[in-house]
Amino acid sequence: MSKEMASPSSEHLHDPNFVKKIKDQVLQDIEYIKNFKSSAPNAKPTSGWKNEKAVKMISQNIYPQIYGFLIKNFSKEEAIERLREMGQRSNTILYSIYPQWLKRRGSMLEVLREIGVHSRERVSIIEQTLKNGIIQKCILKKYKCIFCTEGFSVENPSLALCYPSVAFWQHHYNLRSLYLGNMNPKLIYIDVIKTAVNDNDYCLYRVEAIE
Amino acid sequence: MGKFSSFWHILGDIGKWVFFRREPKILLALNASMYVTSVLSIADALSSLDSSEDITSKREKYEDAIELWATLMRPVSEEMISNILFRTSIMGIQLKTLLSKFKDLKEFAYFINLAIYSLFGPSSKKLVGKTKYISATESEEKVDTYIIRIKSCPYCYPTMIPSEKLGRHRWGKGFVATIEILTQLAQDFLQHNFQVIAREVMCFHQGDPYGEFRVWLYPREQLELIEVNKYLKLIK
Repeated sequence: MSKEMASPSSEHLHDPNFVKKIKDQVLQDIEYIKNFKSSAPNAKPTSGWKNEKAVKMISQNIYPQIYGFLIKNFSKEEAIERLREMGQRSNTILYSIYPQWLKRRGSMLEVLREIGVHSRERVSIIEQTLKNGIIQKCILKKYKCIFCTEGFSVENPSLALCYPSVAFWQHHYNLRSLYLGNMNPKLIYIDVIKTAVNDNDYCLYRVEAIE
Repeated sequence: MGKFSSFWHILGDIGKWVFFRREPKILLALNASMYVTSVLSIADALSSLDSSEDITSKREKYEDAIELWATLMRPVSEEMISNILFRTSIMGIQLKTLLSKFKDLKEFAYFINLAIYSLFGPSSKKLVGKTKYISATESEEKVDTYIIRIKSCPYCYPTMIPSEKLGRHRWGKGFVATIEILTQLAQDFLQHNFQVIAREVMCFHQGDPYGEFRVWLYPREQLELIEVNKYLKLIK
């Protein structure tokens, strides 16, 4: 796995329907986070577990297995949609554990860097394009991706393993941005350019402002 | 506790701390959200793949999703745990050397806590109590049993699926399966001929005041005892 992905055209990113679909999903998830009620009557809120950690290896196998199941059972387009949905959902659930995170202010890069801290991924931002001081496009270079593990073989090498990851990063920013209402850019879209092949390799994501 | 075993306990305590310190870690809540997400994503996928005309059967495939989740994860969890148990060395001492000192079933209870600490670090003290060993003669199920009290659970809270929609499964399937695999691999290594079965018999998600895992060691020549285990009739 892991070659360069075919560079996706970015024309559709500015299609009003495409942007609206993303916005509606973000708004719906903000409502979910605000109204979240656990179905476990006696569970203490996990938010009490402030900085508790678990070794990364117990998480690394979860998504690759689901990835294998989804690409085996769905068309490429539908598998990508479901993988992206997984990333968004994980982020929404994470915010429902820590709803106070929605209120944290910061620049786009600061918000994105937060994720690297939680997931122990190392990220650097390269090739920024600015317009009036606001980032319009940039590339994220990411080491130690939580979704790509060495030795995991996949049947369909044309599909990036880190689709959940790009959607996770994208949703993390978009949720915060629409909740706070005054961030620039307002919405971003992230796509995969390259997935890491082994633990020493890196992933590349293309970030683009869509509103 | 004799002097000999206390030496290995001290070494184990240092080893688990070193192991957790040196391994890359992620936020526990992120791990929990990944668990919830993976079950929901499988449930959605199974509903879409269901060709049945019956709308009720198409909806809410949570029980099937947990079943499939466990099936998908088992081989990779076995690989991960066996890598930890048999290929990890701490301060020049292989973990399997340490494990071989816990051949006694009563002593092995300590090893379970040591393994949980290795995965969750200091927060494991918030998570679980001390593992209790019940000998076959004293156990309700007539086999050697470990009881692990769950004091607080990061996996239950983020879920929105009501427990009655899980059928015979419990929400902590992922966690209890890890303990089951760990115990099975360790007992096989210690050349004990047991079939290990673990279940979450009490769960916050079900409304219980605490969680409880039971790990039963069935001698392979007495597997018929599984039939009389009341928990296994109720919980998958």
